[in-house]
Parts: sequence; structure tokens; C-alpha cells
Amino acid sequence: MSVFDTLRIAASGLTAQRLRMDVAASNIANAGSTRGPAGAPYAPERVVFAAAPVGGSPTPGVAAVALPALDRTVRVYDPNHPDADPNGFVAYPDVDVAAEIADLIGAARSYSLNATVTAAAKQTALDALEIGR
Amino acid sequence: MIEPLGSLSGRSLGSAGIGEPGFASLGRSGRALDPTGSDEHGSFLDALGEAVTRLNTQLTAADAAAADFAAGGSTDLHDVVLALTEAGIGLRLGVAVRDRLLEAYHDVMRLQI
Repeated sequence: MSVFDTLRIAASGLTAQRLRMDVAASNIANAGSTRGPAGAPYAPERVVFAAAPVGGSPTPGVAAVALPALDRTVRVYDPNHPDADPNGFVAYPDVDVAAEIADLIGAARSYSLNATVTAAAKQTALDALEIGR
Repeated sequence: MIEPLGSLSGRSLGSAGIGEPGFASLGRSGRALDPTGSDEHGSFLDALGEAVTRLNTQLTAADAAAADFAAGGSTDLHDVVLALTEAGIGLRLGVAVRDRLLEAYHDVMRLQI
């Protein structure tokens, strides 16, 4: 148990929430993207969190990974769209913009929480140094 | 009914599971901060050298993170700030140890013979 374990655990939380914000931003930005890198419509992503060891600390931090959502597309009838299939349906990414905004707000708040933890950890370390004075 | 405190499982900062009957018999699986400091250092000088090396590593890591961020690398802003914070705390610790060392030296010098 090192002095900096709390800082590193909180840092893993900060990184995870940053990823969550990136993913929400990407989903919102690509809400109307009918083409992706592989030709298929953009696949919205979800962030999955997992407890993971950080920096030699016995208490786990968090690791986040962005994975494609299970429900990927909604079909909209728009026969004039260049990406419409022979039946006139266009596959759009299944992005719920309101839910993404809620997730974005949640990520920002969680980021603040983790930042508060880092501040407390730093203050604890400085307090420990003051003991010897 | 309220459970007795001893039956709670979890992590503790105490010296759990080192021969105390209350803890050992419960077979709790928690990590403990060893208050006796089981790390064995050969001498104070070795420990000091090791600490200085670690401090240097921290400072170098903070420098590298800041440089990478400034150069537009993929380092996150909070990683830079935390690396700087770690290095700052480490430096303060180093200064505190030096102060104590000098204090002890002066105490010895002031001894009346």
C-alpha cells in the first residue's frame, strides 16, 4: 500500500470517465452517420467498466472499454437516400440522443467525484508530511 | 439482530491475521497494512538512496508526461497533473527527510563533550 495508490485508483476513474465522455460525444456526433469505416452504418458504442489492478495497488482501480452496442441500427424509409437498400430503407445508428446527454452529464459528474478523491488523497499525503513537523 | 463486529468481512488497515486469535480464527480475507513495516532495508543509507532514485523516477515521469502533453501527445490532462502532484509530494517528502537529517546532524554537533 503506497501513498500514491489512492491517487492512482482515482486516476483510473478519471481516465474511465474521460472515455465515457468520448464515447458519448462520438455517439452524438455520429447519430446520423449511415456510413462507417467498414461501409456499414456507424455502430454506437457503450462503455463497460471493470475493476482492474492499477500500479501495484492491492485495491483495484477501474478499467473502461468501449464496446459496440448490441442494438445497432434503426431502419428508416427514405428511398431517395444514397445509402437506401433496394426496399428504400436506410439503416441509421440506434442512438438515443437524450440518453447520451444524460450519460455525458453522468460522466462529467463522476469525473468531478474522482477529482475530489485525488484532492483528498493529495491533502492526506501532505497532512502525513505535516505530522513530523 | 445486529451482527457482531468481528463477523464483518472486508479490508482493514489493522494487522489482520497475524496470530491474533480473534482475527485468525475468523479466517477473514482482507488485505492489511503491516504496521511494523516488513520491508527490510539494509541500512538507512540504502533506504535513502532508494528513496532518492524513486523520487528521480517520479520527477522524470512528470517531466515526460508534461512534455508529451505539450507536444500534443495522447497523454490525458489529468495524468499530467497527477504525475506532477506525485512528484511534488515526493519532493516534499525528500525535503522533509533532508530537514530531519540536517536537524539530527546539528543535534550531534551541539553535543557537549
